[in-house]
Amino acid sequence: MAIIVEGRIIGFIILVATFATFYYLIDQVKKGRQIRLRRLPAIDGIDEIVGRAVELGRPVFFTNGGTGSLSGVLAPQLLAGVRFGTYLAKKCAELDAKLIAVDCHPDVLPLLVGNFDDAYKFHGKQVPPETILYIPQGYSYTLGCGSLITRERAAGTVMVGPFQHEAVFVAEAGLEAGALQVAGTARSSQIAYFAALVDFPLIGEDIYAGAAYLSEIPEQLGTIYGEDPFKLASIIISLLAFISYNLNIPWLLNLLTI
Amino acid sequence: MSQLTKKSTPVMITFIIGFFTILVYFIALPSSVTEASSTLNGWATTIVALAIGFGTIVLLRTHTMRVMQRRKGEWVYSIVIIIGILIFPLLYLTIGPNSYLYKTFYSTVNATIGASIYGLVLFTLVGGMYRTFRAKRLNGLLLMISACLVMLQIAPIGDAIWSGFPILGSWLMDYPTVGVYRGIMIASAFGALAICFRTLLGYEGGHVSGGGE
Amino acid sequence: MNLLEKIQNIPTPIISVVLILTLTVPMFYPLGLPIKISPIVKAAYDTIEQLPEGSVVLMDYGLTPASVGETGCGARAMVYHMLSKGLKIMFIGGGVDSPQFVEKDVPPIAEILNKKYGTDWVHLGYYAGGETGRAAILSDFNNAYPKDHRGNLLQNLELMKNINNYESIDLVAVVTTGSDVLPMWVRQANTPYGIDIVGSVDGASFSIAVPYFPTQISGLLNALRGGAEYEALMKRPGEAIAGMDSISLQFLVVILLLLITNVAMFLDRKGES
Repeated sequence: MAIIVEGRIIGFIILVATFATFYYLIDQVKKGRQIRLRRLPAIDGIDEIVGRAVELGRPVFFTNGGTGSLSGVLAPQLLAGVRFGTYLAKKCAELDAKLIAVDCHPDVLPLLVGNFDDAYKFHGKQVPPETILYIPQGYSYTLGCGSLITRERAAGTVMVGPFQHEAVFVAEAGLEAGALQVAGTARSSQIAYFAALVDFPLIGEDIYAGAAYLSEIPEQLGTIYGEDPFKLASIIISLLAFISYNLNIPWLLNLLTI
Repeated sequence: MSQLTKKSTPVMITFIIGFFTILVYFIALPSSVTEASSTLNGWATTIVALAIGFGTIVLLRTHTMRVMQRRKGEWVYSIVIIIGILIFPLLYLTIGPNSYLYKTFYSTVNATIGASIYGLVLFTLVGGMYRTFRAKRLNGLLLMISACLVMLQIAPIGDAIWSGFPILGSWLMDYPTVGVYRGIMIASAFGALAICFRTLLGYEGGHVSGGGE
Repeated sequence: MNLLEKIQNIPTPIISVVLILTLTVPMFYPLGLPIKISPIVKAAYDTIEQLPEGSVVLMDYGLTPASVGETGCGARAMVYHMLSKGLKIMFIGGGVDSPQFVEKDVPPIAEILNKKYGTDWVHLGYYAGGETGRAAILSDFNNAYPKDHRGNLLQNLELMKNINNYESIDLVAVVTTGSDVLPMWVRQANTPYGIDIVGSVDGASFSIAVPYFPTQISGLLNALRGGAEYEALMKRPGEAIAGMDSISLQFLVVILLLLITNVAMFLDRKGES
């Protein structure tokens, strides 16, 4: 009798191998191994945005997406967005830049409030009133963000998280206001809009890598670093599969479906 | 409740349920075990439904406070929002969702407003494209050419102007686009695995703690 | 500001007026351009066409007020096709708006084709839970839906008498604008159970769904264009085909705008240098 369900053996092996690699690397980082993650241009973009906001006397706008919840598949993107928001809040607290943050997730809101509180306290300051605004999901969120950016003439916008169709609205509003923009989402259908409209796009996985870089938590660094060998393996397997398919040698393709 | 219990109990529940769900997917287990997994899925659906209700309660509370505080320039709109939130549940509970009034109200108010606002995407998108699709650099030029080819592939007028446009547009959608998105999907899948791992072992504490690390 | 600079900075209201004209004029003076059928839409049509009478389809009718213009036509064309072939359809919805659109779109089609509720089609209603909810539905229908949207017990419905779980499903048809929804169905229906999937998605989600074709998704309709092609295949011209003329003119205007702007930019740069 088969222990593993037929057709899922390779998936199981990949799962076990990935988890084992992550565990090993997290352990290594905790023991002091230095892991260097590439600093993304978008993070420098955030620093530039805050500096620009202080110079111009205009606020910075932050939002973490108009869809999803902490209980759904989009939760990781929301949490990545919160990390970027926390970094931005720290920078704004440091340089006394005005920050307007909009959130539309009732379950993420307490997390954002707590993180912003900690970020401002780090610099011995209090979060100014009306920094974090709650606008419910849907068109009210889309139009609310757009009008806030335009009305307040934001000097910069940071938008990281799971975005749906509001991505194009909000990015265009930032463009109209003349804001410097950092935006990223792992929702593939919206990546193209951000790539076309913003100055520092974060494409797909970049938001997780950026969040790991900003948090400097061993668990996050270890897992981000641990993904690389498997991505490389995916490239090699894709090439081998391409070659084997074209040479009519189906062994690899058959192997991948056991 | 001690801090340890506050944090470790949810993490333990997350680990047990998550590990069990993964196990059921990969390991050939007796049907009684797989049925237990189906039951858990049903419970999760119920919890999500409660979360939706929670969001509505937060919204009602926020706007009721604005009305009570008579916030300048806002409290009138808050009344409109409160009416909007309450009217559909009231109609649902009194006359039901299949009644003529409910359906009419939905199609003339909700559906119309939603469709109109979504229609604004066209103008916003064209305005954005007009400003950004400038061939100042090579990637800008490539972006513009790709966008034009795909548009001419979708619109029948492309085929009427030149039969090659749909072929080029289809090639662009079928090969480079598919290749790129497959790459993004594979990378995102490993990212999701990483987050799954951290969540199962309690390293991803965001959904557990109130804030900070 | 010289002419070239003016061309590069055309105010948005003027662009909007031109777009509104291109949208409305073809409604009164249609162009009647022919529509070629793409292989991916033909594959969706063939998948449904090849199903024997009495096959059971689970349809995720995820329309919203925002998406009904893009994907609604294709959705209605697929429903007509399935009911006319004698397929049995169970409608579910992943969005809070879905039940309204099922009750609005399906009864008129069923009446034309003389199909009975409870025997030929049922409306199970909205379910919460996203991907978990879909997994729950496929593993046990009766547990996920004790009653249908109209308040009937499932055991009292003729169609649902022998349907317990995924084993009874021959096809999953998905109508959605969420780019995550089709991949969810691929993960929950096709990968574990091998159930065929066809979909009607909006333009932005089409590029996300296309990589799954043809192994995991059997066919796909690309927004209004896909709907128009499906209507052409069904030989029932409708709103999608009528809308393609507006799409043609609008896209032409946008392309001309981009070309003019870029030519003006080049000439302006050349003049400066």
